[in-house]
Amino acid sequence: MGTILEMRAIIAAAIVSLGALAACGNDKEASDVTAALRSAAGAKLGGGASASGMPNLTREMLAGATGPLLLITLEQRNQQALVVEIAQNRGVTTYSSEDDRTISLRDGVLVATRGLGDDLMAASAQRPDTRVSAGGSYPRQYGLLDGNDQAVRLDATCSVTARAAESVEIVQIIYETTRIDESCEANGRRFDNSYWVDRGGQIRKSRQWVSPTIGSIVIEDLRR
Amino acid sequence: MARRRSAHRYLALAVAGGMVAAPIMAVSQGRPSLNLYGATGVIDMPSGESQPDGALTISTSHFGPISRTTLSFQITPRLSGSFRFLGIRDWNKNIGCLPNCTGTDQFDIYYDRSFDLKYQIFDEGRYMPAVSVGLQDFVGTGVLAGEYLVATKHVTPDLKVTAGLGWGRLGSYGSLATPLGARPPLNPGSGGNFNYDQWFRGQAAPFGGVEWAINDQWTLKAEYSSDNYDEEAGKRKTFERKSPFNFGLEYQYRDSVRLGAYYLYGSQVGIAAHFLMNPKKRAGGGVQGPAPSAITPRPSRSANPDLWSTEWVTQNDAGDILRANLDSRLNDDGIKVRSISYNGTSAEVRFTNARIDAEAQAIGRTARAMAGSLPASVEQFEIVPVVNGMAVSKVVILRSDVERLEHAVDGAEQILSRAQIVSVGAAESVASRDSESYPAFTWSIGPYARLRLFDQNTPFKAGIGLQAKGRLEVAPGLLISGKVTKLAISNLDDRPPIPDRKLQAVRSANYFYDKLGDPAIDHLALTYYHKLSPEVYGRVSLGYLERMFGGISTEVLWMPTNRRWAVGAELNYVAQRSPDQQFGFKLPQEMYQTDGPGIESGPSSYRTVTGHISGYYSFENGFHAQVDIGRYLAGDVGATVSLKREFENGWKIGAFVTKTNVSASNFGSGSFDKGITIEVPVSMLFGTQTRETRSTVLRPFGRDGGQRLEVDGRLYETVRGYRESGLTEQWGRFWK
Repeated sequence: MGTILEMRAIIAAAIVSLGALAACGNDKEASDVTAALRSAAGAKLGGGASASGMPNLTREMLAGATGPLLLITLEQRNQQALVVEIAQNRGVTTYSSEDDRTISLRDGVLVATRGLGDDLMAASAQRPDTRVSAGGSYPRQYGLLDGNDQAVRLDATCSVTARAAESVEIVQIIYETTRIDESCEANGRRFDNSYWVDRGGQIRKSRQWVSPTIGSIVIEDLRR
Repeated sequence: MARRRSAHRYLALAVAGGMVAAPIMAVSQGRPSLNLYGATGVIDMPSGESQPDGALTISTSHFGPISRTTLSFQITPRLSGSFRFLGIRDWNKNIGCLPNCTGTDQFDIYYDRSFDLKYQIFDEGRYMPAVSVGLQDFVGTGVLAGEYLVATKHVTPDLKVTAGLGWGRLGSYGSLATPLGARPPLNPGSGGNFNYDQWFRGQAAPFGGVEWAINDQWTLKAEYSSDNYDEEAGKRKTFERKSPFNFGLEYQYRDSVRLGAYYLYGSQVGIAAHFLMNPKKRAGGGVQGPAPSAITPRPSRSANPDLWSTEWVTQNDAGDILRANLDSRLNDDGIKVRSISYNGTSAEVRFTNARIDAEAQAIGRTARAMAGSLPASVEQFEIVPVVNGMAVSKVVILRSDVERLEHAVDGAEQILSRAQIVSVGAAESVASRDSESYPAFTWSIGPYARLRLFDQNTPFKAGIGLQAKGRLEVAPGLLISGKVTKLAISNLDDRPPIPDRKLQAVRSANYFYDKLGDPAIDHLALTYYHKLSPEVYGRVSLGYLERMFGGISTEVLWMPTNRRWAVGAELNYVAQRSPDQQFGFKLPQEMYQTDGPGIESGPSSYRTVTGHISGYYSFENGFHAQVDIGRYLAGDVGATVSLKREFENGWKIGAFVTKTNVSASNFGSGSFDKGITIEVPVSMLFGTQTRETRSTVLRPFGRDGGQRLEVDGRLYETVRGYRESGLTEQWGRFWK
């Protein structure tokens, strides 16, 4: 055995002994590792927890839906899910997908996600168009977790950068909306949000920043 | 923060049918790189800079006859440590002793281990360079021993210059003077001693280098080395050192791997690979898993007074119903409700958590489930995590706070400031208890790997096979657990040279345990855990406790939940198991074989009393100290000191030393027991929820002195995650 090989073997040794090895059985912890492997592999293949490649939605398909229903799209992961309202707490509405991923909105503005990994833990967010003074900047706080599970607060400064009439199509219905672009900055990081507000003042569609790893989420309101 | 986006990629290595993914460090162009010793440096010389705090790196470098593999850790922002395994080929080829070489000349490849420490004295400023002082191979046989003082300064953002002064082997070429007196000859004895009388003594020589970052990926380096390679090139002629100048080109692959190619000492081509990990980063950026149940607040008492009635308390089956409801809400999280007690306005829920790595998250999930399913009149939540039947702490929080703070930006901090965490005794007036879950049997079959590192012949031997594990929980706190292993592919039965021993072969016969124990009963034991008082825990284990010993092990631990210290005592009476690791305790004479001139026989059975008094202290800055004083397996008496850096997310990297009344010469190579421990939570590697961890101990020399019984499920590590400091270190996860 040559030395180079042996040296490589030492690295492999360190890794094997730390290495997670797949197992079967009814032991929750051991099988969790198997599940972890499966999902790691799945993520690599581009699949994932939520349904990607959602079938083309039609209004007929939505006809049976009773409660509030949103279509959410995680841009970076190319994943989509339908979410329904499950709870309301002090003006915040939480929506859940079938596989237990949730988003929470306050007046249409994203204030939390759960089950997505690098979740937005909380945010103090208001609709940019309801602010008294248009123009000018306004503060917004985001609560995140770092890789060491410590709460990190991001104090952002946001401002409305553009307002324009735009029509958007959401599952075969075209809405005439005002598109409001908002730009925020915190600790040298910039991110943009957009809201499409219809004439009744309802946010029909939005694209909002979640967290550094997840990036942005698109939320479309599927109610008529 | 700006670079976090790139930090979630991970390095995947397929190993032994499994896969390991490590979270990777964000790298900037200016990140200091590593040298061929795996320490922050230029090519073969060190530099004045350090790695980012907490960085863990594995480096392997090869040039000519020399190979080095190094594990380095940035212990604090200023202090770093390295552990290295060195191999030099052609060690005895050109010295004319063949074929009758003796002593250290008997090896054709010379292997050695070494430790370094490096301390950064000054940070780089506008005019001030980064300045570090270092000790290379400062303990042991000192083949690589050298000391240095070195400064590095960026001239432009892309170009930096290093200049330093070296002693020892770093002062062996082009030396100027002997500023601090003569260097006494090295007297390593059995190795493993601090060679402090040598440090910074003898000839000193300057060295230096430049590093030019062409772009984010490529770096060019050049240096002037003050290492004359007296032993390797001069005396043993394993290669020819023609020039002090070295040149290199390095490529950064993503954030996790750095590769280098070099032209060294005017005659040699070298290569290096560095693997970079950051324990502070999580694969995928965060733990995935089902979302918690969202909170729907209770209607106010004035809006619906009936709902706030406490009459439900009198209902006979209320306890069973409430426990079942909670259980079904928590089932997806791997949380099992073990008991519920209540009066009209408060409820205590005791639960076990099988899956969630952050204990605070398990508390949060339980609080949410209680808010979602208990009658409105219950305002006070008393949440008690239970481990192996032992309640650890009681977290008291108000339901209205849970309702009010669910979406608050600093909700975790606020609820913690309003929570109480106290010690807890046995449950009182239990309304409903989980008895249907017992006996509970869990089992798993999976791949298995066994390693033997650093035996005297080759540094690495391994076997891969299958293991079957089973665990029967007879009642809360009473369990039978076992593990059987069978190897499929293995080179563990290649016999290494076995040095002489002066003590009972409590560990040094491990080759015979590897060879004869296949299949093996790794352990099979009955364990009983019991809480003796609100702050005192107890354990008794009986059976085949570990690979090499069986018997009885008893332990008590005094651990107040809201202090940072704990004190424990353990007393064991054990017999050494037969190397075949079946049921017997008979020791064959074969296992006493050595290659030395000493005695090759021993007793046919070995029984001993071993035990320790242990003190534990968890410092606020993330360091954890443990001191064990007592009698070890070979009957030697002494103490072990361990120091770990513990990251809140569960990574633990540490070192330990054990000194007993066995003299250095009786101990053998290494003089005393010491090593490095690394523990990685699996959740950090995959971003999924599991409480599993992988840990490894690297011992440069495994001998018989200072060896402890390796019994499973010692109390402190079992329960400490649920004491106050364990619960609050990841409190950000409460609302996750």
